[in-house]
Amino acid sequence: MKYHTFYIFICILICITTPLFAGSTEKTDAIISYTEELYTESIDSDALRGPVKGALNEGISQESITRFISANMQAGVEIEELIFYLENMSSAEAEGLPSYLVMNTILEGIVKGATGEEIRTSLLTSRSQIRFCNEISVRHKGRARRGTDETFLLTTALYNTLHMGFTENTLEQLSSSVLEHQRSSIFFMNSLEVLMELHSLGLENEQSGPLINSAINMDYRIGYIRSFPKIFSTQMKRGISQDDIFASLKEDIELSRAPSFESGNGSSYSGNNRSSEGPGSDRASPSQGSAPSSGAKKGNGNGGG
Amino acid sequence: MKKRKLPDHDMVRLFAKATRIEAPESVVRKLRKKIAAEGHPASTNILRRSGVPLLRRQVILAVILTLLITVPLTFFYTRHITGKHAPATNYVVRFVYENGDAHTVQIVGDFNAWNSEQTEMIRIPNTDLWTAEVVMSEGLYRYGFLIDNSQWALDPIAKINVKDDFGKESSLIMLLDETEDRKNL
Repeated sequence: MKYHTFYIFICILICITTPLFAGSTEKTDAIISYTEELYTESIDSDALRGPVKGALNEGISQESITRFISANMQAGVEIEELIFYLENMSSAEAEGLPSYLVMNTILEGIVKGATGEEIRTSLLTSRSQIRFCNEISVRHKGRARRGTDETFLLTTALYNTLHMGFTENTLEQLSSSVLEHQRSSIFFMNSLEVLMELHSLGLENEQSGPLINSAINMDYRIGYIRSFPKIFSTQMKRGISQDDIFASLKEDIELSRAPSFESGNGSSYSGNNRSSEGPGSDRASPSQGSAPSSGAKKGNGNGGG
Repeated sequence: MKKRKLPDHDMVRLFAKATRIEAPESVVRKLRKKIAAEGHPASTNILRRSGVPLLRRQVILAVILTLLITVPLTFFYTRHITGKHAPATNYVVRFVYENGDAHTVQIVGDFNAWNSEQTEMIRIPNTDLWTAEVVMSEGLYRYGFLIDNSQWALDPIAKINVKDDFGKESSLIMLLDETEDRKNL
């Protein structure tokens, strides 16, 4: 009786698992034959098979791998270089890090004409940055949004902020403040966006980081924080120095009041902005502050873009 | 003639055999009665299970065991897909770039895997403006314009420009759906 059960169990197990494993091999074969078609010169398919299979097994989608290989082909990347990149992506994924950041760094380098050596060097530094960003994002326990993982979004936002020269220490402090005041990941991402906007306006990172941090610590809403770039740009156009604007905003924050500067269109920021949506928060959702040349319209949404 | 009481284990074997060979229902019933009347303690279990035919029991057991192994395996192999089934919010973003000297302008970025052939910008007739519409899901994307397939240009009206690792910069677009988070912002 026991043997019967065992045999039936083995048969069902084989029937179910075979397509699973066969699927992975089939995908690998598809990618390899696609690559062979793309490369004009003969390539070492066996050498490529391992990294491709490894990437698939780590959970990188077939579509992403195909697109990645295709981009490398177009740029005339050597097959050894491609294997190195694929292995780098797989190891990132195996470490629990978002491999798309690694992939995008490589592709960005290729498009901008960076050499293989430059890309390799950047991968070394970016890996530790991605690890740091991921560690912070995980703390914020982003929930799965419609089709997007909030943790991934936050990791990307932090990664870009780091690239603007903000220190890990600044980001750690902001993260702690956001957590302490029980603010959401999306609040944190918006704060990072403001931080990046202030940097792009030419403000000192050493000043803008603590400014936003103190606003979070004083429990201000994001509408208030979002008004900072506008205040800086309008006031600087009027010839007021950065230091003066910083000092004034800091004073406002410490006194728990809305910015006392007038905005560009003449309406003044006044009143306590902490408990309600303030004048600076009238930006339409989705956040489109950094899509200036574009009108961002929400679509009906079915799948990733 | 005095009826001999079979030892307990023999009774169990006999009953099991009767079930296995699918003996006539009358025989099984008789055996069941005998076991109940003589009170074979070890037979209680087999009596209880005898309602389900043996082969069916084996199949059920095998299926349960298989499921116990395959379900976690399936989750493991499809872990990159699970959790991403919900449809993402898509945005249609129109990019506009001004350049009177360019022959071709392409927009490249994270959203199109930096593929210069994917999004060609179209020149608006009788103007220096180039335009393209891109469908994107929620996220942060680096991008820039590739002029005549060689020259890299930032979006002049982008609010954020990010340094890359190669001594250049890219513009950044951030699309966040905040409808669910209004209360916490």
